[in-house]
Amino acid sequence: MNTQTIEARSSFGVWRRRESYLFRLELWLEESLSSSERRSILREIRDNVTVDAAARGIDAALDSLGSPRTLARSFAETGRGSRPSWNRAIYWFTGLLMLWWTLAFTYTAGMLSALLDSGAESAESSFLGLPVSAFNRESGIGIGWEASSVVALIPLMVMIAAAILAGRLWRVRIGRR
Amino acid sequence: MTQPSRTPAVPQDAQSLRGVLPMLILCQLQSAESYGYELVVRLQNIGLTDLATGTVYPVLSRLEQDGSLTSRLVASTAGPARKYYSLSEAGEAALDLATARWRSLTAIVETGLGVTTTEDLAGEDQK
Repeated sequence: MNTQTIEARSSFGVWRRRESYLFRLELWLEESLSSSERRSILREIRDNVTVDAAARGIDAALDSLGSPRTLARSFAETGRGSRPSWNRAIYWFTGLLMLWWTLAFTYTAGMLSALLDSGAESAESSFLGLPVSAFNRESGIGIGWEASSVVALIPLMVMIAAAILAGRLWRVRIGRR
Repeated sequence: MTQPSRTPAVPQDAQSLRGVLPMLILCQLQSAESYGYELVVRLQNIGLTDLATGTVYPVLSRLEQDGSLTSRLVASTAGPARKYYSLSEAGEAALDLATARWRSLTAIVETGLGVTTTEDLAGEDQK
């Protein structure tokens, strides 16, 4: 491994750690600061961390900043108060949706495995209300679910309803202050 | 980065430091404008060797929002534009007020420390 390769990996490592920190900081800042305020703070912190990391290393630079949560709280004292964390809601929403489909896929793949073991041609079932099927024919094997079914949209509808409900509750809570 | 010899080698109290940090920042920026990390280094150079960057940046933001500091973006060859802070007129007044309050407080504390020694208290009891 030559020097240039080591430097490139080191630079990538510094970039990755810095951006990871800034990502977490932004999540916490979102609760109290507007988008433009966050952008301004993150741009400034990024520049300062870059200079600091060049002077004494990325570990020392990030240690000196403290945890993203604590730093965000310090900045929040200058902010406009509690705000809904829409970005975080989107990350949770996407994560839950991915989890739902992963579980549905795993369940259906399990059905296909059982079909292959038993030699049966096809099977139908439902996963948390979603109609799913698997087949094992001479033409090929496969799994599927009824995308046309309204039931397939249940996880999406539940998550949207949860986000709207949470948003309304937040507004009611803030309105009472 | 050397600590002045007059500075006693005692660990700095975070609470006390938090109280005087805005004043010190205003004072440093009165002499010359700075960007965040450079200002931290300047403060460390005057003796605040344990000063964390995460303590300074939010104070800068708050002082700017209060109107005590103004900022300008300066183009940098190494990356995006850098944010430099300098003292505003309101900041000058805030620094004067903070300095006066600090001197008044330290005078009281010095007096308090001077009269509350064990010997003095024992002398009062004998009278």
